[in-house]
Amino acid sequence: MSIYLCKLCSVLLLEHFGPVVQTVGDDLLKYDRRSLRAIKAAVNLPLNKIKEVMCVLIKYGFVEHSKNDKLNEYIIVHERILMILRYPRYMFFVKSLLGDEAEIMLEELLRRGYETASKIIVKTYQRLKQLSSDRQQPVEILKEKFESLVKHQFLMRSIITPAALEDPIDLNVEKLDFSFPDLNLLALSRMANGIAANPGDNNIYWRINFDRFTQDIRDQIMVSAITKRFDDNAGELMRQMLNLMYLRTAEWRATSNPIPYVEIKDAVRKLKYPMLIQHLDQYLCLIEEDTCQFLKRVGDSGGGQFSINMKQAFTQLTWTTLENIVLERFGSKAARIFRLVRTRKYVEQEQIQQLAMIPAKEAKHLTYTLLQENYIHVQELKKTTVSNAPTKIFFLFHIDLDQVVGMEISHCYHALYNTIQRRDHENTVNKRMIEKHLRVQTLTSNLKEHGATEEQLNDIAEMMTPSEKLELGKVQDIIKKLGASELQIDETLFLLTMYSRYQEK
Amino acid sequence: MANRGRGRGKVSMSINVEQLGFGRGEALPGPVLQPPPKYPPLDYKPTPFTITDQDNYMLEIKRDYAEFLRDTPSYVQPIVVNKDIERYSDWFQDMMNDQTSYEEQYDWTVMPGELKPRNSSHKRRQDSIVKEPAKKKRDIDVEVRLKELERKESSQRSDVDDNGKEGDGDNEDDEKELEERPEEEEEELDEEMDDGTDYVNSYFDNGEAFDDEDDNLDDGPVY
Repeated sequence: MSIYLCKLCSVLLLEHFGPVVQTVGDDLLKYDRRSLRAIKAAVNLPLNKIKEVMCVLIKYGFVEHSKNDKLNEYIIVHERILMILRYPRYMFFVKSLLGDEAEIMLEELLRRGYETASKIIVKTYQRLKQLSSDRQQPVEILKEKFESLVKHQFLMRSIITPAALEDPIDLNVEKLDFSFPDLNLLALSRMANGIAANPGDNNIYWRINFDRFTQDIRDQIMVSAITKRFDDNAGELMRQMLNLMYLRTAEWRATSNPIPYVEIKDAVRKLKYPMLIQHLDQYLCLIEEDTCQFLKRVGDSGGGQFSINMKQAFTQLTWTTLENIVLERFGSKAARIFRLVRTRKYVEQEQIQQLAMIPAKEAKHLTYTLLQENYIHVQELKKTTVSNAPTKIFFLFHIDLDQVVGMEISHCYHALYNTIQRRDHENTVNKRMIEKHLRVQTLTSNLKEHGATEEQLNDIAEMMTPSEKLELGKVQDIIKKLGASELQIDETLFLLTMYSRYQEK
Repeated sequence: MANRGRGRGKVSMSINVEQLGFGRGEALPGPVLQPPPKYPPLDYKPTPFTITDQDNYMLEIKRDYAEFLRDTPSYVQPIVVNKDIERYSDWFQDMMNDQTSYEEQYDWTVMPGELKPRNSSHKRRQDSIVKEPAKKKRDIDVEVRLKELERKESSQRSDVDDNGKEGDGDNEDDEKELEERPEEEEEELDEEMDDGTDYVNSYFDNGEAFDDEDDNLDDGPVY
């Protein structure tokens, strides 16, 4: 496992859960699975603190526990820690799909790790109430929102139940439960107004089904890729195809089962895309014949059978991403060489110079740079000749995609780690100024509430000198930019992990 | 092995230098003796990007999330030790940090029992609350009993039948007390064992497992 993955996880734990959790997390990250005693021996903390930390880690799903031979073992899940980076994306996704209330519910669940439906609904009710009175929604509607979240399978019942804990075999079986319990609405509304009541779902905890979100982000990438390549109509067609795929295929299969033309037409007819209905045949043909190979025509019966080639789609997207990385790191000429090696599979140095139409010396330099940075690889081929003649060796350049992707993934971890460190640094260096700014803000808002005069407000605003304001603006800009680049790196990371996920199967 | 006996003094290389693009007689670059610079100059600057509204929104969510967690018990506070002197302000700080045990935040039916805190003060308090009514009950019992005894003394020379009846009553009282006592003992035993662990108890070790790795990991000897 990459060292930067551990460092990144460690930093994420520090940012969100503090230094104590980080120390215990570090130890777990080092060994993957540990018993409580082993952690105690390695970490210089009192036992009760370690237990507290373990509770937090389990609560948020970063650590899973398994029981063997009466000994509890704790296993850290790296992917889950990295998910923290993706929380904003998920929340935004839910917001655009199901609205603000659903987003607040999701946020509450993310904040608590796991929780009962009634508590989430009540909390959302109270938060909406605080926000503004015109966005206030009655409890019934909030309950419906929660149910729709469950219906979309964004939430699932916690697998860990008292019965499952006693029977460890049960834990390993991946069974997802989406059945919604009957909630007592009257009790809910009483709870929302601060009166204790029993809503009837004690011990039924809900967790977030991250797998579902991963699928949705995956689909989003495919749709946006098609939209960028062709137009909105084609993108919409792709979205419909993906919906049809879910009806007949398991989520993570490399290729979907064939989708008949008639069904695609039916699905498209329900939409308000007149252009798409008119030119459906042409659009299907375009996507199918394109080099991106998202769709494949697998049969001719019933006007044609189409299947979505997920694995191929992500391989193509990965290639494009890598080409762009090479382009931005080494320039367009290097990118040309990279593309050349890709299309030719195995190619000799001489051929590269001729085909890329780059002067010999420069071509060599670029090729060797790419080789040195591990973007292309070399294969030695010894030609067997007469025994005592000097052996002639061919050096063939090629690209081992899996290896390059693996390297790029660890680059992403590295970049994320560095970005977070830098942001942290900026925050600590300018702490005094940022805190002063916050103080001034709270003072101003406080005074405004009490009806202060314009003059007083101006006086407070002048507490920050112009040069300080300028500096503060700069720092805030830097921090914002670093944060945004974190999101963008994560996007690349997501695509690359998707590729390796499909390769594993 | 192939180039053995090609003559001394000649630098032999496994590859043909000409293949690397160096002409015959051209000097090879010297060895690199320094580590590469920490921040090498970039040939190509990274492309600038614009922060969209969507990014802005996501950044806000991200920051809110981190800030929210900072104020929850999930952000585990380190134990502050080594206070040089007691300060007046400490009192306020103690009030701000709630010192309640983390035990109450979790549903222990879904968590492994070994993670429960030991010797939590909270539990002690609960136990004492439970015990108090029992004591009161016994106090009353004692008073009743004393009265009965007084009555007995005063009417010592009454009928034998009466005595027998009252004696029966006494016996019943005694039995009740006897019933109460073992329950209490059980409770105390529970207190020791219900952590699910046996850190408190000592077990005789015959030394067979002396070389086990587990022993080394143990946190000190068990008394």
